[in-house]
Amino acid sequence: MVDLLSWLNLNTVLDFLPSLPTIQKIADILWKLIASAGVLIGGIWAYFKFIKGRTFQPNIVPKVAGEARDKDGEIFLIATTEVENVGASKVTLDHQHTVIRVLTSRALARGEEGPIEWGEKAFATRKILQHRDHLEPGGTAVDTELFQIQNDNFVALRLEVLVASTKDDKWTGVGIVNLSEGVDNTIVSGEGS
Amino acid sequence: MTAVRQVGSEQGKLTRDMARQIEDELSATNQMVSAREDKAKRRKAQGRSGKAR
Repeated sequence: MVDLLSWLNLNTVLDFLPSLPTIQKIADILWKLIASAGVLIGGIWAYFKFIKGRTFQPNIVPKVAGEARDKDGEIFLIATTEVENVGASKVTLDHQHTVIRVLTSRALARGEEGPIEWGEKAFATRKILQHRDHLEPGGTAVDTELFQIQNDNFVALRLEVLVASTKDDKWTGVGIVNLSEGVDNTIVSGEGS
Repeated sequence: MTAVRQVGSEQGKLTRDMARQIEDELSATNQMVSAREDKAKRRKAQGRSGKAR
């Protein structure tokens, strides 16, 4: 009697258990769900790592340094540029538009006051880094130019380094030379953006 | 003697206007250099002709 009951129970349980093809279908669906979730999570990670984190965004930090000497009414300016590739991708330089610009500003007439404007056009513009085709990640390139400028009551010089890539990206570094005597012009490095 | 003070740097896109302005400025600077070299050549030539006399 007990055997018969247990045999009936087993049969009932077996009836409720899914068949082998059904188990395979469920496993297949689960596997597809896991794979889809993996692809989604991988995509989100890649988006934050490479797009939001700007891992392979080209990034150049141009710095400008130098010194000016006044001799017999002529300013002799030595401008040294240092360009560092702080990004993770190679940057190919656009030689035509990678330059240093020197702008001048003249003192206002006696009795006048207010902000002094820089000239709209540069006093001189020279191509720089012509010896380098590209900058590797972590690489640095240096260039130096010498300018002679007639001191026409100038109070300061503005040096603009412009580095352009063949992909039309540009990076600029700006430095000011205060020509007033007794001014502390300690060299300070600018932070890249 | 005065040293330069770096005041900052920035990143952006090279616009056509900016590219044209740079090309104009480079051309003006090259003209300035050519004019100076011509002047030096003329001065040298004058010096030579003066010595010949």
